[in-house]
Amino acid sequence: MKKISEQQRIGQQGVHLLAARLLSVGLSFQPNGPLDAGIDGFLELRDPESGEVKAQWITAQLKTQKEGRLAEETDQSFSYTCRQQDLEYWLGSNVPVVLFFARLSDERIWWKAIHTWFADDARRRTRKIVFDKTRDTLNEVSLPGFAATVSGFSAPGRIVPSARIVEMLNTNLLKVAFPAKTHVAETMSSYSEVREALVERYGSPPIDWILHGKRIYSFRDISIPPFRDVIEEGSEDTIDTSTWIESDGEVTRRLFVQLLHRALGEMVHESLAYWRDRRYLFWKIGKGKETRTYSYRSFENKTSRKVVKSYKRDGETTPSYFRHDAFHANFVRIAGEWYLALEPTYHFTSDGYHEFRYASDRMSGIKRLETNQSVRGHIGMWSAFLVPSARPIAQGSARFQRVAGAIAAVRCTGRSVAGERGRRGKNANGEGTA
Amino acid sequence: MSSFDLSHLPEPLLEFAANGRHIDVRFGLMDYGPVDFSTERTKEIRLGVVGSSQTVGKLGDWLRRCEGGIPAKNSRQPNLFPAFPGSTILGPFRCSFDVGTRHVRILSQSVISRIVSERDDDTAVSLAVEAFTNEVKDLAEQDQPPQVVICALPVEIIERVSNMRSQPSDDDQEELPADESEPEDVPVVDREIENFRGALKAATLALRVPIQIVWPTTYDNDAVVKRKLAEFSTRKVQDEATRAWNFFCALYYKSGGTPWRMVRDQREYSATFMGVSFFEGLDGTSLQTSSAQLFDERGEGLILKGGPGLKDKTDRQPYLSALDAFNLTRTALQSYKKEHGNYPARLVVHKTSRFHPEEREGFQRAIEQSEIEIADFIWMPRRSPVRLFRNSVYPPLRGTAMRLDDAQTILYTRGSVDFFRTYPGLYVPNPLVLHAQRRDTPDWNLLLKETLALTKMNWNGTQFDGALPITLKAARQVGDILKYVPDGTTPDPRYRFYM
Repeated sequence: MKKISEQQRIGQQGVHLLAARLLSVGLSFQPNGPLDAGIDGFLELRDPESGEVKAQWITAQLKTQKEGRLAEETDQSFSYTCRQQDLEYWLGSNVPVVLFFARLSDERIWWKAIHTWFADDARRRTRKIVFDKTRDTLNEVSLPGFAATVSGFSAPGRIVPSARIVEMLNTNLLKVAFPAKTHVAETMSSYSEVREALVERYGSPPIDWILHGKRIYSFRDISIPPFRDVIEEGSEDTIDTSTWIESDGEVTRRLFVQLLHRALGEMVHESLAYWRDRRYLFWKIGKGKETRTYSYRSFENKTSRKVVKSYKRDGETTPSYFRHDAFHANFVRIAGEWYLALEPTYHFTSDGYHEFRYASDRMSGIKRLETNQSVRGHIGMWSAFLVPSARPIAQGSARFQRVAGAIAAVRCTGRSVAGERGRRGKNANGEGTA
Repeated sequence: MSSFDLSHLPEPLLEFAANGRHIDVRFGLMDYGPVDFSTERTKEIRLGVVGSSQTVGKLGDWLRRCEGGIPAKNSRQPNLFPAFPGSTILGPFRCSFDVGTRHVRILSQSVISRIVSERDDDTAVSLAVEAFTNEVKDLAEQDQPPQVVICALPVEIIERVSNMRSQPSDDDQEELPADESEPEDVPVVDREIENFRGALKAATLALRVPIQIVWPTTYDNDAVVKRKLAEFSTRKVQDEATRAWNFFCALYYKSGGTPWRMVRDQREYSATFMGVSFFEGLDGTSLQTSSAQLFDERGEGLILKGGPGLKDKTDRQPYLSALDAFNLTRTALQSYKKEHGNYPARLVVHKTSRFHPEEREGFQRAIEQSEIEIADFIWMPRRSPVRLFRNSVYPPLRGTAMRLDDAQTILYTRGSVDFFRTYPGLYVPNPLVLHAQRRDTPDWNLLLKETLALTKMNWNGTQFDGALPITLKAARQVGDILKYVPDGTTPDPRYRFYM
């Protein structure tokens, strides 16, 4: 009597499950025929977007279990111990071998690249593979791993199609909303005369106004104090802001940007100071204080950041210099809208305000150390600071919005950089980058 | 919901011999050979060498060492630092590089001493320029002159002529991270000796033999050049195989070879790319002068010196008068026609400053007169205000582009590179902003693809992720040389004399 064993039937079910899963993530799979000595089939790497293939193969060995607990199974992991002869067979292969492990009852499949796992001699002696049940799951996220398996195996110069993964990129943009009306009034005074008059009468007057061609422009109402006394009586008027920006090309646009800078400076003047020489705003520090910490909600979590930090020489009690978080504000016009592009930088002072003698050395030092991640964190802090949900907004002032929830979070079909995990803080030249 | 159109462009392919294609310069050359390779005749590149007895000797040792190949740097990225397979006919350039005995010139110790002991900086530089120029001239006037002359600078001369620069200005400070993240050009030419380099290149232009300046640090692992400016003291020399790659690639191109070219779709119009830039005259106060860098897809570069720049009152940016813009473009296109027999169907103009209305008028008139119907004017400011950040240690991928609106797009030409499996730079990369002020090409993607490909058309380096397209990359080198070319003389238009 002819028979097909239960084990053969389960094995075949596993092959079908694996084939379906691989096809669903965009790979092709060719099962082996009956002449199989420990390789069940081949999968070919394929560019999921263009469909391009380059004859880059991975051989697949599948172990299938119908149901029940796997060897040494916990919530996180399980293990599989290879037979010596299988191991020798696989390690002698001239293409990468991946061991898949399937469980029919919950249709889960895990994978491990044999050569990568057994590159370690100690592991090879035990012949044991430990599967991480989360990380080693076969799904779309595994694709970069497959590509890395092949590229680790192939001769240098081979181009391995890498898997596209969707990733979120953040921009450094904040959308600017500004009042629909701009106030204008005539004055006979020069800029310094206006300022002096305001200081004399009102102490610390607002800075969110500009003077151009005998006219004062501001988003705030300038027919009332403190401005009432410096403008020509009866000359005050309001103009439509958007019409004004469009009216006279570059010159008006420049004035408008200037006004936005002033409005921004006014909005943050309690916490930040402007450093004219290098044109950035930086965190002020309280008298006698040595640090300042700012707590905020970043892209994901609540966090805090030392926005002013002091540096002491060994054995000294007073700081030799301070590092202040700072940013350049760039106002840019995109598709008819105005955005604030944040360019984070640092201010180095000797006493909390005056520039430190070796500021430029410190600056190039820190810029050398900054990574994508650290600059992103810096931008997260500034955008949280500039878009405070709780702070009351002064009337007639410009305000800033995070674009699209997070700061301009845009979906992107990017390629993953294979092999980037585990080499944090090192760049290609082997130099540390913090 | 505000969302910008984000996309990722695949790495452009380059073309090598026998239609071979690869995204990477070095693997393409190894697998297929240079695009102009032909089996019909063996190519030999005759090199001349000028230097001190020491530099000539050590350089000679290294050239012989390179014949057998230089092993790869030990690295976790198998594709980033490949071995140099050798400088013989079997090597990636499929030709031999030979130094004939008649083509070696040794500067006497007394000449070197005179340069080194000269107290006045300017005089020291001119003495050094003169010493090298005389020898190059002698070589160039031989019956069978060398195709490229290597100027192997002795350490003493480098140290003498490199002390020329005052403290870097604030502007330089700001640019530092971006600049330093560019792959270093090897043979190493430091900014400090740009005066010497520019003057020497300008002086040898008329001799019609390109020169290659090389520092001892390129061929001698023990060489030490004292750094006079602490600011730039961190620059490290690349690994030896990379140095060999870059050195021989530059020699190959300078000798008239074409190592690789851009892959163009047959269905696309024939295009040429022109960079327009300004450089400051020698005295630093004179008006800026314009230059044009014209490149076609084969990588033939033409360099032209144009008229003086005018300063715009409102933004103080230099710009060309309509007539000068017209003349510059017209001459550039005529030179192109001389070379190719016809005008290109399409002209792409790159500029680092905004296109002034007068310039546009001049460019357009020249384009019309040359019966070019399709033109794209792209303004690429030095820095992009808009940046992107991944949630990872590594920056966005090279090729990441974000469309801002109809007229503006940002493009990452430096970034994480899949093929290298890392971010091969230091510091956070700055994307390019492409601002189209005239755009006849309806498809932004084509413009982006071309710009990305043009970043790979720099024959001074073999790592393909150059930050700037060659049109603008060349501008910097060209200005430093053209300022030494006296007014009224027409400098050699071939790019290989300037790189």
